[in-house]
Amino acid sequence: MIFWFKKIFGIKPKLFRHGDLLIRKVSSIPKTAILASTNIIAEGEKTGHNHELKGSHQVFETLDKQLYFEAKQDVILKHPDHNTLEIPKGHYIVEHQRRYNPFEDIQEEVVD
Amino acid sequence: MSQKIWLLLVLLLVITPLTLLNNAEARSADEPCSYLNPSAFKKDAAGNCIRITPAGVNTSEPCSYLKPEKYQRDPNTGLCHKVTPSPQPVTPAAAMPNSPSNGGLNYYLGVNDLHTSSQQVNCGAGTVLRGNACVVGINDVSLTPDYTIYGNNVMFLCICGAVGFIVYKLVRYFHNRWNRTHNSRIDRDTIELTTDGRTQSSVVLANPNTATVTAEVAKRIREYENDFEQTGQSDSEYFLVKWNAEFIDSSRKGNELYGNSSIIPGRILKLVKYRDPSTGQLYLVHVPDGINDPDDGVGWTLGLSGDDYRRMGGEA
Repeated sequence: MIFWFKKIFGIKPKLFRHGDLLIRKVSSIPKTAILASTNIIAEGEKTGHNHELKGSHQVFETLDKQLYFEAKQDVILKHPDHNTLEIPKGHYIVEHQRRYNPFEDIQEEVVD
Repeated sequence: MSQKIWLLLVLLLVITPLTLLNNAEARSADEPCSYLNPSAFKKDAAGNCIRITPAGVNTSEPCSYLKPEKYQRDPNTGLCHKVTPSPQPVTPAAAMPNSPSNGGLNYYLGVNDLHTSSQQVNCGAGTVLRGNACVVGINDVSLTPDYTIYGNNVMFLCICGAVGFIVYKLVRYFHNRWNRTHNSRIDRDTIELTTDGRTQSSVVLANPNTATVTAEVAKRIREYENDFEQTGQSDSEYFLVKWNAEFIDSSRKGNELYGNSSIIPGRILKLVKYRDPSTGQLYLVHVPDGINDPDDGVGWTLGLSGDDYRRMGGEA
């Protein structure tokens, strides 16, 4: 129902999840971010499987290693273990899933 | 609750001197006009305190150059007073008819004669005869502001406030310390353990500021952590059963929230079990203790609120 409502009225989603990644739409990419000549937005440190963008896009990286990308047209996100995800045109930030360590009261990044 | 009581006590400590100060103005007839500055006042025949003209005041100048008729200088004190109309005007003697019997002498006395006469003229409530006119009786020291006394009062209140604040801090410090040593409740920094009353040796974990537990509990935590890294990821349902995790809630998305109170006494560890939408593999992760909804838990792992997670556009 919600899916068809969004489809009919052209409401595009702003959040996507791809495995341990969260792709969040942003209004713009920070000016301090520099171009990165890659289509990989996350590497699989354990499995060696990467999250790769296919289509017209540009990846950016800030000094604190935060990744953004601009989808100039609708692009797809691929990973060997996950289904392919369609992402509409726009600017996006790439965030990693986290987990909680209850004994040290800290949060850690999930490593795929 | 106890902190509010202490705060109330400190407030009372600060307010009480203020109440006492308001009642400290009454003086008897044999007391000086001012204890702090006794030479600045003198008493007249009626017992009123009159401020002595300070040195350097030029009494020949008018009180006001703009409206000299509105003010009159007191020849005794050198102070200026506002002239007010008398409720019983005094008529000059020359303008009054002579009375054969002189029975109206008190009423017909001339203004110029008043200084030397022992007769009293009633100027009305709140006014006194001063010079040739009735003026507001501000020579009473109770009506004149003494800024020295005000300054001392403010300073006294500041000192009371500072002392009260220090007392509050000290009481709070000792109260917290007492709580840590006598109560068995869980604190953020320290976990106090009560078992059978025996003295137990404690083991500090890797982060000494996080928790202090007994050796027995520390051993159980290590076993739990190791098992979570192995069985928890490969066979999460077996792990939940093995460690007596209790089911709390599930969501439409198929996420499940569990709680485990058998690892750390007095604390419920929260775990979320979710299924990857692409691979179908089950995952088990810890989430903060305050989470009570499975979607909130999975949303937390993605940096989202539960509502944002439920409205997510695509998952793969």
